[in-house]
Amino acid sequence: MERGLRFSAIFISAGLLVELFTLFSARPTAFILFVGLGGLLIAAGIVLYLFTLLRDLVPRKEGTP
Amino acid sequence: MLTSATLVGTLVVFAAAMAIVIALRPSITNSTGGKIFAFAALLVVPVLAGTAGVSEHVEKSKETEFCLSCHVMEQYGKSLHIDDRAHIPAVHFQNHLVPADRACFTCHTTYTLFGDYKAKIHGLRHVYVQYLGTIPAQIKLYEPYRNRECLHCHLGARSFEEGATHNLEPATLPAVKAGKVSCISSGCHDTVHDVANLNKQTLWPGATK
Repeated sequence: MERGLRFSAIFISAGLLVELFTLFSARPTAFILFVGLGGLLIAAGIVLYLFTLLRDLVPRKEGTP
Repeated sequence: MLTSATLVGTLVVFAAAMAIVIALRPSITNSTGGKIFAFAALLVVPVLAGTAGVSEHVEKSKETEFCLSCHVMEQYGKSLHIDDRAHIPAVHFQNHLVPADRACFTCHTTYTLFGDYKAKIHGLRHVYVQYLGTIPAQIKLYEPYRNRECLHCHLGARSFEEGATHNLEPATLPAVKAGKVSCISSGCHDTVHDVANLNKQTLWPGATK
């Protein structure tokens, strides 16, 4: 679970950093990067986080690691 | 002075800091408090920061600087400096009849990313064409310019309501208000962004935008 959370956090922080760098520019490219790259990384991180939670909730079969 | 961009930027930094804590110490999620922190750091706060950021960008898309940052719009930006009172956009811009920093959006409210969903799709298409597509030789409006954009400010104004030409015929003013006679294409205020003849015009050097 920790591995999933770590990757999720890395994706989200990378996305947020992209958003931070593009936030102060008033150019169309900045908006595209904000949504297209920053938003995508954040969305990927959130999906990974939810997937990690879900996987942790589902009871594992005996014998599986 | 605190601007909305600074506030959103602070929120984004805060959200990134929370996510970095999880990235460095994922083991903190073993406790209940850590699980709540992770839920906030990996879901709630990034969504809030992202939404606030999109809102900030949409707000920025109203700025004159945003519109004129595309090469294809440069001539239209220059047309705001034409030193001739017959040029409607120029006279509005130079006399601050529209806010200079939001000049484009004030008269073209259905444009940029701020309009309805259709305008947003058009705005995204413009960005695509700017970087990946073929820019048309002549830019045209998607639909005829609507009187609504003029009446938004002029309706009820004395100069408009009591203007000699507007009241020459009793039917003129109601027709203009109803949008049946266009303000700009009826031979009245028909000199707008005359980019084709821009080189022949004298430009007013006073403004920087």
